[in-house]
Amino acid sequence: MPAQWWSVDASGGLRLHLEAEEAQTVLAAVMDFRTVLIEATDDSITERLFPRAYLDPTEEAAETTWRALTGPDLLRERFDRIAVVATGLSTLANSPRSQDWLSIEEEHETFWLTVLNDMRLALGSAIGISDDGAEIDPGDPGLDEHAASAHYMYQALTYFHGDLIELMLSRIGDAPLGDS
Amino acid sequence: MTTATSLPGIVREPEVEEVHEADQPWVVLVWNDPVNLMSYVVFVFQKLFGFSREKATRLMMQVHNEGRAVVANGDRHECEATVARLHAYGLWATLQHDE
Repeated sequence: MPAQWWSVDASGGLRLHLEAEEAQTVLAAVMDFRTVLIEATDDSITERLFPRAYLDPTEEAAETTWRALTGPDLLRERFDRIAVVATGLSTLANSPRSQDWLSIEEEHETFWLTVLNDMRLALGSAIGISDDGAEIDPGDPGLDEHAASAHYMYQALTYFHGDLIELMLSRIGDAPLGDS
Repeated sequence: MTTATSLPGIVREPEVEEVHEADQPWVVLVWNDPVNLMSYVVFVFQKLFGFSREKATRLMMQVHNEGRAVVANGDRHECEATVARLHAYGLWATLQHDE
């Protein structure tokens, strides 16, 4: 992958730089994440992506109502964002070698940011990323092939996502914003 | 604590029941998370709440060091909406009565 995956064009628009093979790899990871959302078989992932709003057990009725009101919208929103990101990656994956960048519409910038974050949350939950600060080396011979692959993907997504965040922070600036 | 005096045969309802729940202030908490990048949390705080970089960073560090931080307050419905927006960004947020 190039040193910088994300850039800003002359008009201030966001660009993603990936070669076709790299885009195909990320696209496969996005589609895997989509499958995880559909199947919802891993409780740790579901609990992390759809956490409780109330921790107080006496607010269980409010929690149930809140979840019924917001849960379907949040799931639909996640699928909508995935669809946009997958379409962009598919374009890059099938583009000629001379065109290894994709212009991202302003209204879709947050989609990329949140999909990549959701993927890291799901992977991080699945492989047990914890607060103890101990980093696992994906090349650790003690990991089986599946676990090593998941750790490699988590690491790659962290760099990929981090690069995008840094760019978006530089654009948003330091001052308080107006209407958020 | 003091006890309300009552006339014989007249029972007064406790004053606490005269306070409507909707009047109670609520707060939104963001909790520490081992996956979300610190820079991402700063970005979300700036984007959603319009905070300056300095304030967003200070709150992020509070989350990181103390495990949680209050990022918003309001009535129950306002705080529920804020929690939903934070969840859409993948942050771990909850609401509770202001302590």
